[in-house]
Amino acid sequence: MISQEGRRYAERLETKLVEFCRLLRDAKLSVTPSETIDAVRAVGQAGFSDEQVFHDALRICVVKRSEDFETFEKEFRSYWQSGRKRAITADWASKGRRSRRRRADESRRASLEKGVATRAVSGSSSGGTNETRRAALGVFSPLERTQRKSFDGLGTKEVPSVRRALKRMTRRLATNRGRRSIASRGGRIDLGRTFRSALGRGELLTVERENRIVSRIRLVVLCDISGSMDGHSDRLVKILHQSANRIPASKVFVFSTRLSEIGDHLKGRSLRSAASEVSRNVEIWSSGTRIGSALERLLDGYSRYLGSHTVLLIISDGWELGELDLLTDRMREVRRRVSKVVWVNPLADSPGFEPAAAGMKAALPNIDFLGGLDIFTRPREFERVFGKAIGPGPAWGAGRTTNRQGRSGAQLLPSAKPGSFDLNPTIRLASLLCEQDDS
Amino acid sequence: MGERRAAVPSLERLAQLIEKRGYVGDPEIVTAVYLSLTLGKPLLVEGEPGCGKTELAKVVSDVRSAELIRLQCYEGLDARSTIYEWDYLKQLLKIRMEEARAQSNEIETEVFGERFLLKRPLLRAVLAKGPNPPLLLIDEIDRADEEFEGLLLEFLGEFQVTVPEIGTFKAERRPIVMITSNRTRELGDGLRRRCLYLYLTYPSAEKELEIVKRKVPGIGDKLARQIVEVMEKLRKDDSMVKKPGIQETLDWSAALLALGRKDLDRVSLMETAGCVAKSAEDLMWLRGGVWDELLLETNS
Repeated sequence: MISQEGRRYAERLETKLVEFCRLLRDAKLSVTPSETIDAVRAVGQAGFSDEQVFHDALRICVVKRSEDFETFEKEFRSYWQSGRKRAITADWASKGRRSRRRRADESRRASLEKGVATRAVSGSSSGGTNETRRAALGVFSPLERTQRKSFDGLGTKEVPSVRRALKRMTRRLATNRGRRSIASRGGRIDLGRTFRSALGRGELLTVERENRIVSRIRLVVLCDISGSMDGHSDRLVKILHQSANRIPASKVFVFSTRLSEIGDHLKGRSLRSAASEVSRNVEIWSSGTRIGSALERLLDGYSRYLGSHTVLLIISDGWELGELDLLTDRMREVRRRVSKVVWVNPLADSPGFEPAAAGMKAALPNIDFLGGLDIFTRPREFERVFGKAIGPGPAWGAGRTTNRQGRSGAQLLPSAKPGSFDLNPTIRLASLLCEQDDS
Repeated sequence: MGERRAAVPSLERLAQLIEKRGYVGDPEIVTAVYLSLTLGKPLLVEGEPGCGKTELAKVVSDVRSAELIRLQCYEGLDARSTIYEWDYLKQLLKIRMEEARAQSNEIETEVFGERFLLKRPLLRAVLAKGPNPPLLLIDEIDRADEEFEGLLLEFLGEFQVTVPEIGTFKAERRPIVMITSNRTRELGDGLRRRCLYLYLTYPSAEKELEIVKRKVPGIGDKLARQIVEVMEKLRKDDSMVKKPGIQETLDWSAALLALGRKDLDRVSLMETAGCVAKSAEDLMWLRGGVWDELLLETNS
């Protein structure tokens, strides 16, 4: 039987736990009501008399990535150990009712006005880069100018060819065949389906086949918007907008001295509206170029986007202001993680271009394809050159080969040759299987 | 079936049971296991390779007297290899044999019976009998792909499997589920949310010394200390492509003990470098001067 006082204490503890989870959410840890419930239950089970156990129990339930441990420690110490309680402002109550996007917009705007980057603490690994730490303090490096760009009068002329080029590139690069199979006309014999169809007829008449699926590629775009790329910003915005909206599962980043993810500003918006969002929220145009540290930030904070089915598209002229060693090293690391690295350099449009810029040279060994911005305006030519550089793609007939009704063609079992013994179907199937294994 | 299964021991008792089986770790490990058992949520154990993730599952299955059902993950894992598959060859043979005798629908019923069903780990976890629920270990899930994560999430929600020809199997009680990952890729949010999270990394020097003394009995104190010191230094240095884990420490200790060494000297280091370095580059790096440096530092 729990005493009156005990019950009140339990309620207070529960309230504090819920408040603590809200604080973690504000600190950009993803804590849903589900985790909050787990936390309350866990504390109920494990007890709260031992501080170490209490701390561990909370962390085990609420933190789902080791990268978030540091943030959790900070908040835990500040909330449970410093003796001070942060006031729950009325703001929180009203925030819950607003839509997610508007909330994100507002908080971004609010912090932009205060001059502190909102991305400072999100997804940062232990320590974070110097830039993110400084940005969190509201201090900017001398090389960085906060400059916004306006896109009034942005035409839509090049948009269709940009879209075509992007689609062709991603389709062409999807050459990885996974281990999953799908019904198809050519390929290995699919015993399961052969069998199932045979049982329906009582006789093995047809052989069903399967082929391995060509997996789709994810696109990550890393676009340089520093001073040297100024002249191309219109075209860049179109490329970024098409990437975000037309290529499924794509992620779009811009960088100059800092890295910024802009997918949210672009997705689901028209070109004009996306351009105005970008001009409102991105303030690092025309600064210096730090490709190396952008790559480092990408690897540290967004490594979940870089996988073996990802293509990294870097758009930059290669005029690196940061350390070349960092650039070389990070390029090597990034190339190790993703399937292909495609580099688009506006300077490559001019005839007689050679990758002479120091940053370009340093990155070259880890690039699979280097082209100019013009690939986005001449998609057919691009595809030809690209195809030659990347190599042969999957053979025709790979992937889905169903007819309009959605049924795949089953192949009749080759019947016994005339004049030979009448081999029954089972044995014919077995011999087909053996042939397949031999080839 | 009316048999009472063992109740979850208290936190302190669980710590003792785990420690008794030779698993030396931080207190948060015990808390994580305890919460996984009491809250009934799967435990996701992430961390560097060779740091005792799979070992933890074995110890927990022992402590709970639970049958350990292990699913080793790789890319392209699908329902056929994880849940069930029909034993086609057996079925083919059966059909051939029965062709002359029986009607086709009789054959069909027989041939799609449980006898011809190959039960893979997930189905076995659902069908496990006995007083205690089994422990389902899903090892190295980072080697499988996102599609498998989706499949697994569905499974973890219901613990039931439907085989169209037979029916639905539902687990009598929830298995204990432990999932390990070597962090070679990011796992999806859906899976992370479903699980409690534990991160295992290299132990401190004192802890590792304790582990060595427990697992390699007979090793001299001086040698053990030297080994642990060298390992700590090697891990701090980022030059190695494959950093050695606890398993490598134990292998190395056992090797040196078997060779009868009481002390780390140049000869033993050269001979046993293969226990510590697991790639050609690392081996060359170790043999090319680093060993000598470490030796000087350790013996000073």
